[in-house]
Amino acid sequence: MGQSGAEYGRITDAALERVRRAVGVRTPVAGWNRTVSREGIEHFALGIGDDNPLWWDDDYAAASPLAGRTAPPCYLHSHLRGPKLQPEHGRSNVSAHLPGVFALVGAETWRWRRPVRVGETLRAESTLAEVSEHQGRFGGRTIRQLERISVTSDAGDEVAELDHVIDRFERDETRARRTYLDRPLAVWSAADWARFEGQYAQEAAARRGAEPRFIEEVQSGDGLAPMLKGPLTLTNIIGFLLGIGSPNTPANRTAAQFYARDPDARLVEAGLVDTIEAPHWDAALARASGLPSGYDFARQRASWFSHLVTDWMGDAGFLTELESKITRPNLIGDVTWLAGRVVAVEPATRCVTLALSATNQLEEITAKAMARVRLPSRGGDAGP
Amino acid sequence: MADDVDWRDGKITDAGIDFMRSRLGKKHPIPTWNRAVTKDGIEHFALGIGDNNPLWWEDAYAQASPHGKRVAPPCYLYSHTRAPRIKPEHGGQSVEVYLPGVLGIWAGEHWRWNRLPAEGDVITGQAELVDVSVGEGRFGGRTVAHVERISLVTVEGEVVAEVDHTIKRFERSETRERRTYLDRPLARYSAADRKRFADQYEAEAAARRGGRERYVEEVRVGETLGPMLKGPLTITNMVGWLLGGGSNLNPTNRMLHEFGKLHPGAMMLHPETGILDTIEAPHWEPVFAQASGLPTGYDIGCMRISWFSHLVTDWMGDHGLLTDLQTKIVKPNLMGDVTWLTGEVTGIEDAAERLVSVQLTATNQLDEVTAIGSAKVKLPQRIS
Repeated sequence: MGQSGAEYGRITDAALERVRRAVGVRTPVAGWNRTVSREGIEHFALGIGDDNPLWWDDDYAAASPLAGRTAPPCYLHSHLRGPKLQPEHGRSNVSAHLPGVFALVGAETWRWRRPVRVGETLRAESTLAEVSEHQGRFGGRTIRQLERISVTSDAGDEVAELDHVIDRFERDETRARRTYLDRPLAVWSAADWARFEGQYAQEAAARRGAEPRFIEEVQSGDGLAPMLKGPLTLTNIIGFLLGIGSPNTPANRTAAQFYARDPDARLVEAGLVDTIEAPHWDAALARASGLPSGYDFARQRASWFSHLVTDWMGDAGFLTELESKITRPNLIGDVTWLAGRVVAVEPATRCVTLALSATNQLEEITAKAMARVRLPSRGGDAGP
Repeated sequence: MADDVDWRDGKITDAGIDFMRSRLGKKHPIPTWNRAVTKDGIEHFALGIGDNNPLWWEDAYAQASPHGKRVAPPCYLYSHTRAPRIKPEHGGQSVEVYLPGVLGIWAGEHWRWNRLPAEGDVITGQAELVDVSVGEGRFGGRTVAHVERISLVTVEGEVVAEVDHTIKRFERSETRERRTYLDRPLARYSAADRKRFADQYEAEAAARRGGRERYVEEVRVGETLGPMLKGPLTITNMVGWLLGGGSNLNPTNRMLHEFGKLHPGAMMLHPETGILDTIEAPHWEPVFAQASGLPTGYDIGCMRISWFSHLVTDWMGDHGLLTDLQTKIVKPNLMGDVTWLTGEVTGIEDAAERLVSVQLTATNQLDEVTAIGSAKVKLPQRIS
């Protein structure tokens, strides 16, 4: 059904060569949100379960070191996920290259320059920076696309940069290898549930909030309080999407026009036609892709990591960098326990390095991350 | 928490009905998903109903239109009625406060608009229970219908619109036993069907009246509207709608936990996985849907109502104003179903007021009527 006929869903040398030729090409990125608004910030915070009043409460935010409403770091994803309805929006790096080939985000690195504020209008541009071949998560041939995205404000300054790694797998291969197809899905008892509730009930109390975490009081080896995300449900995935938006859920007539313009933004698999994002929520399409059920968005786990860090660092801290790697899928039903510890403290720059991990109920590490945070100093260098 | 709520076999009790009656006429504010009307919010909604009228999408077009600025589709106002009640002062929504655990189905709605919402408006909602009636349902047994009236008011105090929202309540044990829908065949489509849908979507935009006035003088009783296609319904499509309409039931993780403590009646326990989910989950989670007597997931009532409003706005042109839309949902719209919308002019209600009445019908692939509606439209006059 796609434009590429027999190549649809296949990693061929010819297709790969075409991807390589696209390296260096810049494309505009359509935003789901374009102007930062209170609503947009709250929708995102709700989608990651982040109840910090810094994102929710005008008065609290005004009295904070940020002196106003700002957005959580990974909120910027919502400025990268607009529908590409017009020819000038270009095509995504997934539909434009290796159409029909399964795409999973493998890693992302954010570098933030400053927080964004209500009222700012942001723009983004993406460059395919690198294409390489790997042995991937499913064990087979994997093509890795590195996309570099720059987000700029209407004042012209770069507010953040994102390196976004997309891994591509042939679905036949992921199914045949059954790496994840037979993984047991989680079932929870009332006792498990009580444990989750106990954790959620205490998390907000562990949030540092308005009390500065000074660089002087941080030691290498300090642990971050664990944070729970899950069990993952479709309801939760939708909640997350409500915050970051989606380039792949236009409806009805708009969807028909979108697919007429970009047929390879459709997934045609097992007699079903849906968007390339549908395996996240459609169990049949997930199984056709070699996964036993729907699964989260890599951006979701990266956003969760950023929540772990912002809760720990307090409102006067600033998350400058977050490099996360996805090592296993997070399937519907899974719980994710986030943990972290301080691995380096640089008093001169007020920078702290944190090592973070995400672990599921099978004690499997599903993602790892490294974060860098700038903290206030007791000596007076305060504020993000 | 939600263990107290028997969502599987919750009963319609006299005490529950008396409690509802005691709440009649008490007004309370409701939290809203969007508060300020923004370009981003308007486009998210238009995208979710597949409405590509440039009136919602393009500044220059909107400025040259009779509205003189960016306005929103009439049912965009759903996004000012739907937000999670995450604070105690938000109270609860009717389906959880009244008869908790009893299945609630969106049965009908009556919208009245004074004008279209416009970019820059700040609009909040106020709700009030206005009617409770006990009757026999199509599933059999005792049913309750309750009507909630929501007024949408600008910060300046202007009432932009009002909606009466009827929810019918059924005992799930009853709906399961009757199997009214449990065995309804699910839709399957061929490539020829898909071609037919694609052709229809292509033709639709051309049929949109747009900037050409539809004068009241040229409208004849018996004149038809549409057809307009919406579907096949997928989770992707539902996610698309929610991205624009917002959701009152998708908070996540820690915030979901806090939400569940406040609203045990808004939660349901998954019988197989032991996961506590929200009462919105039957829309996309087949196990919950089946427990409610439906064979698979199904749309949200306000989706079909928004679709009806799209049929009308496409027909009436940018100079018209949809003032009244009364709808009844008569059958579920299941995953995979297509909905064909048609309409007919039934009366030139008031020539001086330039009001035209239109009857609307939604029909699925089994030729079943799934919703009916009647609309009133104010049209421009050739000589004014």
